[in-house]
Amino acid sequence: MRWHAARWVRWLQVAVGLSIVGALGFATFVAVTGKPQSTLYITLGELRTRAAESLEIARGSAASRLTPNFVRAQAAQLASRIASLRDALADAETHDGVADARTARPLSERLLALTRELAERADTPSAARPIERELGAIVERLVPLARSARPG
Amino acid sequence: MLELFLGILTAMGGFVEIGELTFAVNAGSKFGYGLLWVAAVGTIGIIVYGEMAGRVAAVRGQPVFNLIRERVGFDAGLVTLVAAVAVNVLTCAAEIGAIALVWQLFVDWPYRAWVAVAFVFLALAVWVLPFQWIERVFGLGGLLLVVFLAVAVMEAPDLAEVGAAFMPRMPALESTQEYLLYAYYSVALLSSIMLPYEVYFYSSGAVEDRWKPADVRRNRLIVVLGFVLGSLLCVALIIVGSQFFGPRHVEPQLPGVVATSAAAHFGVAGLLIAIGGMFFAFAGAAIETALSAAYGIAQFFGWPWGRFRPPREASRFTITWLAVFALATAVILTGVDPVSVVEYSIVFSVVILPLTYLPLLLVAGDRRIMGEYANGPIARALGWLYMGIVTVAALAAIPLLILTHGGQG
Repeated sequence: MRWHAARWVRWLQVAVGLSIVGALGFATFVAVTGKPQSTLYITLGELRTRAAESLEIARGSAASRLTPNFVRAQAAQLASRIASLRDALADAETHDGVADARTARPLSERLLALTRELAERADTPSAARPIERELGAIVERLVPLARSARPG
Repeated sequence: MLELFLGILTAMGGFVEIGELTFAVNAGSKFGYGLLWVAAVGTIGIIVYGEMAGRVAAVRGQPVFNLIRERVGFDAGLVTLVAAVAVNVLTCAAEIGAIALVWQLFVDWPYRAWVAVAFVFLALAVWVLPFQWIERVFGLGGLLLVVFLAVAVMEAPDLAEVGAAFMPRMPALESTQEYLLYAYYSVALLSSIMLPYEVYFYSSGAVEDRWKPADVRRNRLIVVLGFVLGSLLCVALIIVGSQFFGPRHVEPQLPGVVATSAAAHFGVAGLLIAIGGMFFAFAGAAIETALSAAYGIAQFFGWPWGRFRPPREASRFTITWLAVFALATAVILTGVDPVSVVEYSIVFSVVILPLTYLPLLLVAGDRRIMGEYANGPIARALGWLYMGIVTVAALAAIPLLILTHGGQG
């Protein structure tokens, strides 16, 4: 049985290794020979979800069901991710999906400013109400934008 | 009886960690109830192999990596060991990063400061607490996540639809990319439920607790009841993702965002319970992964091991789990996003599942070794069925990771 176990585990190791090498080879082949595939839809989808998350934090803060420190820390955690997405959109403006990226970039700038403001004014729940309204409007604009950018 | 009851509760409370939390809620948000059947398939799988690992440990006193070295040999076994330790370090890093993110929600210190505090806390907890206390403190604390069961109930899901979703089915999606993403999430969710460290830790824990053949029945009850109850938390997270986050266009990656669903229904108390539960669950998983890596290395090379031994008697084992904590902390301190680490740790976990489970399946089914405790027809059939499932998942995992741009779409 020991011989069987060793042989089968070796086969499994080789099969898993081949699947990894094959996938990497395929990805490299496509990257070298094919038309570069735009991944802007991923950035837009992420931006939409980060905006919706900020909206949830603003909503919870306005309703006083989140603690000030939670709001401050969570908004700060989101803000750093939104900043990365904004930078990715700036890069996309020069590469692919120019129109969508140009539409989304100012939204990402405003989203970042609002999320930072949410963190700064976490001790004042009433201050979250106007932020909540504006975030809601941003989410409404990003949802169709992210949907239309998806392939297929 | 109390021991059994506590064993079941700790198995339930220790079921969820950052990977399962992230993938379950996101699976619900992206695909509604479309992946509930994967939760059922994964739960049966972890029950089948968890039960085998506990039974072999009780009857033979042998944990998983001892079996791998004995049955597979040094060379092939070493490849599995290296892969398993690498995955454990990655998973431990993800849990440490998640603990820091959660602590930040209570006290707004810099993230890296919390990562360092988490390292000290985890090392002290393992050093100071006896093995049973480690299991109980973090397992029972993780039960606070039951708040998500309450959230799922409050969201009033359509029970007929939920019930129907437990039957495997392929949903109607819009594009090839969506189908690939669905396949990726199926594999990742399966992996997050059947994480290999759970089996290493469980079988080593059985040896730590000095289980005997008389404990085989207790092992079965703990595994079946504990994991079924634990999987209810996973199901609840999928429902919360589907009912609460999906309609709000949220696909949460950060633990704090997931906790807002509890706050929406139960206010600040719900928020604090959810975050508290996450802390215990992530800390418990960090400890289990660090110990699992140390168990694996010590068992493979035949070193004295176990928390029941004073550190001086098992010095190489002790240095190893401390080194795993240190390495995992260093990974997170580089600034890598813990959410990305979670994704990679989950996907690479599924790759090593068949390599870990095959020797276990062969030993548990061998009457010459296990005698009357060898696998019966049901355990044998389920064992081979799941060997096929995890092998297919292992072969598909990395290609799917690449084709879906790291699971993003």
